[in-house]
Amino acid sequence: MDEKILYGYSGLFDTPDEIIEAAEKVADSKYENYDVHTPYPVHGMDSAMKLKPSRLPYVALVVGLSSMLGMLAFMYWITQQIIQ
Amino acid sequence: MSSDTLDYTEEYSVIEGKPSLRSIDDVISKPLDTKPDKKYYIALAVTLSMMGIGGVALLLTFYYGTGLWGNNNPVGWGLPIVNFVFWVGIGHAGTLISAILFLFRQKWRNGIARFAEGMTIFAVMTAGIFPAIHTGRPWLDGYLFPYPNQHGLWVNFNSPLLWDVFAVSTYFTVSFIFWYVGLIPDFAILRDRTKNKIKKTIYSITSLGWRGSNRHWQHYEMVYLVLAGFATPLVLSVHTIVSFDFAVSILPGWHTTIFPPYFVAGAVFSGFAMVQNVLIFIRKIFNFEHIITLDTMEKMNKVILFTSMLVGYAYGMEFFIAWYSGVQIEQFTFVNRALGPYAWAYWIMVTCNVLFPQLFWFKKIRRTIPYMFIIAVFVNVGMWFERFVITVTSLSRDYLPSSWAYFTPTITDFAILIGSFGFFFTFLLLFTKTLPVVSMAEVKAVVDGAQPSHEDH
Repeated sequence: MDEKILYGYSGLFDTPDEIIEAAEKVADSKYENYDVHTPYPVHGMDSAMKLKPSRLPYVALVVGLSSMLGMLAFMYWITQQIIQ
Repeated sequence: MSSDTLDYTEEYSVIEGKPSLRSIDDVISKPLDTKPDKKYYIALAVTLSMMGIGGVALLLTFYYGTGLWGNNNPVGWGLPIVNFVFWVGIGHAGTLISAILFLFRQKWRNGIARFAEGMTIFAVMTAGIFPAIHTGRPWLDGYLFPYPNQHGLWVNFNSPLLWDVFAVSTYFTVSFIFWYVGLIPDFAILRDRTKNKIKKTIYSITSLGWRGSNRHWQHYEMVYLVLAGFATPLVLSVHTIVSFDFAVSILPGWHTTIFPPYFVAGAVFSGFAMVQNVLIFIRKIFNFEHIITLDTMEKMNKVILFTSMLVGYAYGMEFFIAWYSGVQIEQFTFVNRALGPYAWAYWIMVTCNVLFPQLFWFKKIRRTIPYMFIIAVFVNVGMWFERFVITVTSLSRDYLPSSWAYFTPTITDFAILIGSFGFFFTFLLLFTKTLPVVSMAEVKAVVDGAQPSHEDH
């Protein structure tokens, strides 16, 4: 056996079915850092890789709501300016 | 698909011929890799000259004032508002295709979404010229935005014209972000393909370090979904608010509740006609016929047919409500529209918008390029006249017969209209040579066999 340290594996797959199956197997194994690179989003890959759902919608909700309240407050402030 | 009996249980591919991933990249990025040919420069010269004509007309307007336009005393809103509404309407197809059809999971949108989004952005930019110039003093446009100033001057939040400023600028921002987000994976493809150092640097910056990892795709798809969620109400709200510019005033013919849905339907109608017109050239010139297929064109024609009937219904309903309301001035306005001094414009509008699109009931016409092109040109003409009829007929004959006047656009008005077309098509031409006009990543995702078969699930 040679003394080289194993950093990782990479594999090349030709069809979406194969890469999904491979992703499922890797996700079920003990590997912690794994990723799949595809030229387009493959359906079902998120669950195959056991990824957590994206948290982006919550960010969008908080930013959207605070912008809306900020704008309403701004309009209220302007109205006060005009009244004075 | 030529036979009349279709198997509706089977899902037909929206991309013909099952092209390989590499061939999709090759054909879509070819216009970016090759130098433009002579025809391109001729087309660019034409659009730039049109833009120049508009530029001269605008400079004259700023120098001598808006007296150069046809606007007169009762008709205070002439061609600028007509052109504004026309161009905002053109923009609507892009968001409808990219957002609403995305939420409905219509795969055929993938081939045309990028181009339609680009058209949206350019059309909204073109539309933006008109509010900016319509006062004749564009250097005062800063006051459109609420900011503290030494005059203590604030915008009027009760005015639909101000809502319009915000609706259109929000629409532009969201459309632009949508467009850019869609471009990120394609920039990454271009970055990996190019051998030119300058291009590589530009694409590396604009692709934001995209690697095509599924951890990227997961967030990317969520961003796309959220943006589609933002853009969907915008499709409806922008032209609704444009229609408020008219509907909130108390002029007969404008003060109607049908205006918002009527304007939105008209906007989608004209937008699809313009997208269809331009795509006919794009798919032919760049050999995208297998990506933007005849089936896709047919589906667009069906949308045109459908919205044509919505618009036709609105024309009829306006007359019905005028009669049913029992308001004499309202009744007069509509009789005046159809039979008065602007009857010519009214019947051009009805013929182009309601009668000609009915030809799309015939499958042969829906699938023949020259016919569909001519019909869509008529639709564009008709929709421009629709805005003309709405704006001008109501203003030229309102409550006070002693102040009635006929509105005739001047040569300056038409020069500005020509200039707006030049502006729009110049941007479109530059777009075709600088960015991929079809989304490579999105097209790859809908090729036959691109998605897992889920046999074991």
